[in-house]
Amino acid sequence: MTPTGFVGQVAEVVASAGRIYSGTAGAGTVADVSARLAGPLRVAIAGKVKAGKSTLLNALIGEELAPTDAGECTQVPWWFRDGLTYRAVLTPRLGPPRPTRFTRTDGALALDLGDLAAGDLERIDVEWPSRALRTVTLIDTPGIASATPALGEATQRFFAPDDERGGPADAVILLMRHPHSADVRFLESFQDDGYADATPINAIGVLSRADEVGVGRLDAMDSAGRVAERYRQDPRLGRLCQTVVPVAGLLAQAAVTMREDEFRLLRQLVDLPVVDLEELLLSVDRFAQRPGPAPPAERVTLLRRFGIFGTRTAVQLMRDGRASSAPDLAAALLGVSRLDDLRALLRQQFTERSDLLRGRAALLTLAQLARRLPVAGSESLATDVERIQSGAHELVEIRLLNALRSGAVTLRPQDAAEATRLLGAEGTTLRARLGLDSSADEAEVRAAFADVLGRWQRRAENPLASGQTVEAARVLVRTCEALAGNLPGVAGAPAGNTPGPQFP
Amino acid sequence: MAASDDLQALLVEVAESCTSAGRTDLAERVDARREILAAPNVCVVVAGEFKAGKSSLVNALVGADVCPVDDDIATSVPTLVRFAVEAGVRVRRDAGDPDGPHPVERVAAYVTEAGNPANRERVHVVEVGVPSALLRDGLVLVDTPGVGGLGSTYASATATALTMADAVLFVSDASQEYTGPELEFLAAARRTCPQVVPVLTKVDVVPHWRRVLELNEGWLDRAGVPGGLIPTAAALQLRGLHEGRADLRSESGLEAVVARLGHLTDNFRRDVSAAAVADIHAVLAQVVAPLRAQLDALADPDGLLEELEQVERRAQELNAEGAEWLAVLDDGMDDLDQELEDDLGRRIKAVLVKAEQTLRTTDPASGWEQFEAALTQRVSQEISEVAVRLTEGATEVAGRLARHFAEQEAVIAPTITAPGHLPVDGAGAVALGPRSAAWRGVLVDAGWGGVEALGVMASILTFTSFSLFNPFALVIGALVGGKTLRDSRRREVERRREQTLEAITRYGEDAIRAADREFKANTRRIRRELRTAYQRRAQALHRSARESLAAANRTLGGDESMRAAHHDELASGLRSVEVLDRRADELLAASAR
Repeated sequence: MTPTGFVGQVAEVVASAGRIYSGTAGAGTVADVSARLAGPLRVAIAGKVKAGKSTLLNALIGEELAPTDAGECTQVPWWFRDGLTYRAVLTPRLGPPRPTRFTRTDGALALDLGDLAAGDLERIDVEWPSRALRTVTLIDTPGIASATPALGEATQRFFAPDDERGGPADAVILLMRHPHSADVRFLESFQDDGYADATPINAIGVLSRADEVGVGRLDAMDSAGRVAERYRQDPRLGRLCQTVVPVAGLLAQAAVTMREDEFRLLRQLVDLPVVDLEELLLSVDRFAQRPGPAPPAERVTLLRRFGIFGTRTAVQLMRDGRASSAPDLAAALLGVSRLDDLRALLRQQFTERSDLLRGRAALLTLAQLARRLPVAGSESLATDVERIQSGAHELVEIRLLNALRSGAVTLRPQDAAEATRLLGAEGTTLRARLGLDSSADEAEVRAAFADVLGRWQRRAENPLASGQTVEAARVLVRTCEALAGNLPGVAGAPAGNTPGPQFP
Repeated sequence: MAASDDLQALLVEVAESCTSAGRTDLAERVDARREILAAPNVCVVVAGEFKAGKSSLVNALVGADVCPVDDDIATSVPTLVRFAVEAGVRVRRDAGDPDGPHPVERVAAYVTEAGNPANRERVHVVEVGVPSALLRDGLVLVDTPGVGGLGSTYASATATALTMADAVLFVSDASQEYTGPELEFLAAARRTCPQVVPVLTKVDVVPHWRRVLELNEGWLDRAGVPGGLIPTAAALQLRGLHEGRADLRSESGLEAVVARLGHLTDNFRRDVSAAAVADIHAVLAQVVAPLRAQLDALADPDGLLEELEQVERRAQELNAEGAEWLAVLDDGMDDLDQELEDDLGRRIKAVLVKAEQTLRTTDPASGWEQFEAALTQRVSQEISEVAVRLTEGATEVAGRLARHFAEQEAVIAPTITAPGHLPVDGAGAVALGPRSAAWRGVLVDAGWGGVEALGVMASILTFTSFSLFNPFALVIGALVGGKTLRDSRRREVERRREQTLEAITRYGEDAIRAADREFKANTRRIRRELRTAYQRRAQALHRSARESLAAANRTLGGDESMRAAHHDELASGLRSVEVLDRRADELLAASAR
């Protein structure tokens, strides 16, 4: 790990910013940037009201913490961090942050606001010991209301996509509930309200409440998969996020927090004669009101926790003998909800790139600060930041990846696929970049590498290739050169005189 | 409804009376009125957000899978669903008559994005005939496209359709409270449509649907939409029909919707009854005119012939090519055509100017889809607003025509035409109850059958599809694509800008031409229908006047003894017609109670 690596460079420039802005109004901002670099990746969950943000967040954490009703507190951002103990801190708009008591009613946290109203709060911070939160801090954002912004406002961002601004989060999960692609408000569904400035490198799209696409039918997730695939191909989304995956959030939340008594109730249902059970499942009213096992109130609770799709699916799984115990059922339901696909994606695209994403966010914040608050030395700070942004190969790779995904740069289809993979779209390890799995041996890896390097070197030197292709090829050659140091069986420094980026 | 059956029976008798008096022309008029009463073609538009469950609701109501339903792709062309003895599909491609019938299974090929991508079939409206009991009474359901959602082209175009509709079923999904755009749409619907029936769908799969119902009813109260929100589950209805289960059908909640729709046809019939009674009087008066003339000749011949000759002359004038009412019609429609043309051109040019301004400050290659969507939306909205003006303007002209014609008739001879018994509004058109749109009043007065009204409604619905069949948008998109480098040279940006400006100007011109064609086709059709309707009436009047004169002449020329014998015959003939007149009045009074 050389001091001139990306991470090192960012650390240096942050330190110098600290010195430049010490004692000024910008000091707080720089301190925050420092803290961000030291802490885990911050991932915001964004989307319109009722898109299912809090439910998904609970599913990711593994506990029902964030309230999912339309209460007033959902209008305030909630930050969830790992901690040694359980704490909740309120930060009012005016006044210092203060810790507060809380209880858990029906699962979700209920905070004691004291003399404050929800509207007085700037944010709520929750510390909760949780393995899931060790590598990321999750931010539950308030829903974007369904007002229609004027043409000018909504399109500003799209007329100036290169005006990167950054925000309090390093990455963002964009939730949407099946808007139609011809809807003029389609893109509104993907606004993150300034939390992370979504680009293909730091944003993932989620088709949330995916079971509703199929109106609660058992094959709902297949339908949702097809819809998500269509969105993936939509070039407007290509500019905003890396991909789109369907997730049935409510089912996922129920699966990770399933209780033994719920399993027992399901067991009772499954033990009913088939005809009776089918009658119960025909509608939510029938399920809750008709005579059957367990009091109606219990069945209502089950329905609210699992949804009609979840209930029907659970019953089906148990009848087919694929879930004979509570843990089995939970695992099976989790699979149906496709939460694990999202988790894998988050790991690959966010956690494995944590250094990069945090560093990028830090640079953007410093650049903004230098523009907004000029002091002695801030100009050279801006220059330094710019130098790192344009010079750091990692960021160059990100920009090319963004450009390829959004269609700003076009290569032939087979080249584009190889290029995005090489740039780390499917994983940042050497093998992932070469499109090889763990079964490939050393010789194969070296051969694949040589093949790829040769190809892009030729393109970079091809006099007939377009300017775009040549530039892209040059970037890819540098990527390969940096990768060379990681080749199995090769000792010594990487070829070329560029600093090697850090790959796990 | 009993009263309406009696009225129907009476109309049959009146028609027979006309026929036996040798007046098949008057009998036709009565028969046309009877047809409207039997099948009033009350149009109910089904509107709502994308994926709210409109097509499923229509299918559940008519008890057949006529509107295609899919999780992903939606309806993209308006679909009229009406009664037909044999199921079939007709396709309208322009303001003329539909082609078909095609088999019902082919509907998806015309109305969905999958079957008819980007409306390459250039279909305006699809008509599906289905032997459904619900529709037998004369109800027509209009399933509208959800493309674009309520915040777009669709909303303004559907709003246009609402000006022609008798009611709207406003459909919303139970999983979420009314959104901003839905509330805006409701407000617009309430202003333009006589009846708004709000429906909540998918209550079979949303555990907290009652909460949403409560919240929405609050919104409806505040918006001044009475009657309550009806919770429904189309899936239960369809399953109940399929498996023959009455319990599921009753749980579906659709009975309440059917009841509300039933009220619509009843209300419409009640309103039309008044016009039917007026027709009866007018027709019978003409049937007996020769009888009366003969009686007058027997009783008081002085000056009678001069009077009848004058009446005959006036009726001739009314029936002539140079009649004043024709000028009222033609001038009115000519002016309307001009007004619409000017309005259209002005509005679209304004949109283009704004678009150009935006373009001059940006590179068209970035964010093009957003810009294009906004541009086509604005253009479609302007076209829809002009379409609304078309229906308003046509209503005004038809009203003026009706009043003028009525005045002329009154001048000719009160005894022949016997107007009265009818409430008329300021425009002289039959004023129906507050629950009917003004447009209906005009149609009723002109004696239009439901078929013509449907034709015009279908033409207006054209505008909902407008944005779907313009190929111009594709041209622009292909021009600029998504190709740009961050550090593109200024020259390239300029060139792209110029190309885009040209493309947009061409698009605007094409849009104006296409919309203008549609508008003119519509006004031509309206003009034709109105002219035909009133010409028939003028002809009948003229014939009545001629026959009266001839009858009086005959009587005066006959000898004393013949005259005396005739008198009783004539008097009894008159009496039997008077009986019919009285029955008509009684029925009207009964239905008003």
